[in-house]
Amino acid sequence: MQISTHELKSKVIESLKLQDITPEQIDDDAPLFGTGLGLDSIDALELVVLLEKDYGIVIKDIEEGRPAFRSVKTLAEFIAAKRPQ
Amino acid sequence: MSTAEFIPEMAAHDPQTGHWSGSGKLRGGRSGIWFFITALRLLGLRVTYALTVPVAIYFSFASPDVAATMDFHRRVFGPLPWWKRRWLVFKHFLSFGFALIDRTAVLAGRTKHFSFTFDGEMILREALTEGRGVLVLTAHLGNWEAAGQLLARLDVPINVTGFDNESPEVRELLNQAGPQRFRLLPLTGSPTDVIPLLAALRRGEIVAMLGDRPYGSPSVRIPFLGGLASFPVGGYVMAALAGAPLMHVFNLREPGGHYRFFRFPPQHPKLPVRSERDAYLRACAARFAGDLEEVLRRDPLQWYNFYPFWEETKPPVPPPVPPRAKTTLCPSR
Repeated sequence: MQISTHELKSKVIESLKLQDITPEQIDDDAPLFGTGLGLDSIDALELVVLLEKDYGIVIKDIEEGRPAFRSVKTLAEFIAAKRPQ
Repeated sequence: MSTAEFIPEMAAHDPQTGHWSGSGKLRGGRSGIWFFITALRLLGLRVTYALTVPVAIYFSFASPDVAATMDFHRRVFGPLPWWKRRWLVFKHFLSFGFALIDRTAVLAGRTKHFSFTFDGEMILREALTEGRGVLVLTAHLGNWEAAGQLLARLDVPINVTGFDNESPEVRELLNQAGPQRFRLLPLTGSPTDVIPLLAALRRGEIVAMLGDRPYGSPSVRIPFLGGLASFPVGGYVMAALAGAPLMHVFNLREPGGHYRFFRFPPQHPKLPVRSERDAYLRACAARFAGDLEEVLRRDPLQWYNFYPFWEETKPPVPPPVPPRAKTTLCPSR
């Protein structure tokens, strides 16, 4: 099932309590961590929990999750592929 | 038995990465544990305690952890003459040896030699009735493994987090020796570690974490015993995400195999808005450090972090994501 990157950005902003930023300001391909959105290891915890709570996706292995956490776009694709139908 | 089998690598220095890591693994692994279990079975508790004395003497000269241990003693006891410093290192290592024997004895099911006082049982039970589990934040103080096993009478599953560096053979030996009453949830330093912890909290269980060693988890540097030291904040983030109450609980060994628990009021961590988050987590860690210091000062030689605690070291496991970098997208941070 497809998920819009806009919807995902709103969710990320809301659950990570990012301030002074709108979904429009986040580039689909911008890195989530480090340069780009500048998320840190605490945000990583929150994102893992967000995927589990809102999309029912349990990431067991970080190696599996690593490519998915590159950008909003890769995360949306990951959710679309893994989400229980 | 080689003496090297005796002392666990509570703070093992990895020459390859240069990292100090708290592994809690028993050096010598299988033969060390086997020795403990056999000595306890054949010789009893008292003789096994006595056997620790020469080992502690040896390590108080030979251990690479002596300097870090003396630094800690200076912080809690002040400047001391050289002989007193040596004596305290010996006593500290001896106390650690006793803790290991108790740990093995309790994990092997020999709980009849031990007793405990826990005046927080009602509070813990009450916190559990919230149905969101309870996150217990403890420290390398006293004997958390023995204490956890003694707490089994609460009849609530206890999940203990930690690096599972114990080899399968050692685990097998411990399992043969007696039923394990708590589950070990391994930490790998990855954000996905939170999944089993969250699940346990949702089942209404107790999750115990060690709050005085920053493993691979996010941490802050805060004042502690006259210097800046790193404390993990992952526990507070977890409790906030799960909506679970969090309690600081410590224990100290008292004469006669008695364990006394010290608990502090339950907290309900909630992550504030972004710009205040770091300050909030820093305050949480500072409160933990304050509570820890209060109990630790009762018997400093029961604090078993034998590594340069005040040195800024990288976490033993590489963080899964790059460190935070300044970004133009979030100017508020």
